[in-house]
Amino acid sequence: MEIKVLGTGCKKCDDLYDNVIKALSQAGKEANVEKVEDIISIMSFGVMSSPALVIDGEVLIVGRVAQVEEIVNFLK
Amino acid sequence: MKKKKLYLLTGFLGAGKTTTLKGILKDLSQSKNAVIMNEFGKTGIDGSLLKEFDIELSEINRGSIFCSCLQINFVTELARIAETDVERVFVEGSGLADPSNIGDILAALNAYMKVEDAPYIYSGAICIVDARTFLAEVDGIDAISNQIQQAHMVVINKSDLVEDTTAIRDRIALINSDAEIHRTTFGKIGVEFFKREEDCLKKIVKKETTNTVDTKPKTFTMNIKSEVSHSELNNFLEEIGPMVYRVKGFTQVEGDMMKVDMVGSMIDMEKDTQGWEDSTLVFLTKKIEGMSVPQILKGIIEAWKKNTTAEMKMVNG
Repeated sequence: MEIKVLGTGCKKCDDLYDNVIKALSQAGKEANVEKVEDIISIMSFGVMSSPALVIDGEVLIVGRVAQVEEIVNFLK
Repeated sequence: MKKKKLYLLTGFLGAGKTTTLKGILKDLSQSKNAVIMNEFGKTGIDGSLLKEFDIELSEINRGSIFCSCLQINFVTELARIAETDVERVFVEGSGLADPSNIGDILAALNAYMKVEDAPYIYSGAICIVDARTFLAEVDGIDAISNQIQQAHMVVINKSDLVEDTTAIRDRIALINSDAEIHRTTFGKIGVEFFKREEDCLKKIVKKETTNTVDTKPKTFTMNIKSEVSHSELNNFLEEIGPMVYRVKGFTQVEGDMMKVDMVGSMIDMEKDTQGWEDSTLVFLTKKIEGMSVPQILKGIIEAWKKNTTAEMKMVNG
């Protein structure tokens, strides 16, 4: 699984990244998790605000910090 | 759709960017123009000064559009305007804007719009400097030298207020030997620059912006409930001078609504003709060693209470 956390380096982006790591451990899954901070890559996903969560190329969350449980559901 | 010309207007606080922009919009009123205004405070003051023009106006406030915190808003706004029928888009940066990453912003716009052929021709950056204060400011503030470095035209404004502009010209040329330098008063720059067809994207100096979340100055807005006297307001502004980059807004003073603008120790006040109704001042505070943001906020409030009995409310942003 490829997980990308899109964010321009704000605290919310770090929080989302942390929640992704927690969710993975809770779900007992492994994935490549990448923080994407450069503006050109972020905008190529077509998001209008950050942070955003992308799993296997699909933008699932935009503009907010998803909670751990919510991310666990995406991982199933 | 025909490509739109995109211009950046930079310059330190109080240099005369909005006045210059008003002149440009007046001169180009036969064509359709859009303006993106960027200010640090939550309350946009400059946007209200453009009410008289028939333009597509958008405001992006609470930070610099070149900072990571607002880049996305800037890109999506450019994308929205790209779909309209305007001919030119003027972006007025905040006074501390550092446009060094404009190349990345425009590349991000193409990525967002999924186009290879850019919807804009980057037609250049115009940097306005205040002849009275430029030499004192340029060495202390990186954003200012970067504004000069990224400019295609530098305008020495308020040049009638200094005897000689040679030292200013030399300093500008030292930072950017390619930019054309003009001197003017009241921000008048004519329209010749805006008729050119040159693509300036190749000429930008690629580097990181100094506008980051860490360097972002803090802003506060004061809502004033009753009127004050000229001396009360002046004494207050003089007292808080060392703590702020800038104060601007509108205040009811002895029966008149006054437009207030202070940069450094220079206070400009004139009668408002725009029909602004609320007394609102926006403070852009400095980072001062040994002083926390709450201490600066407290300092401003105390200075107000010391100099006037008028009631006010201070809010963040």
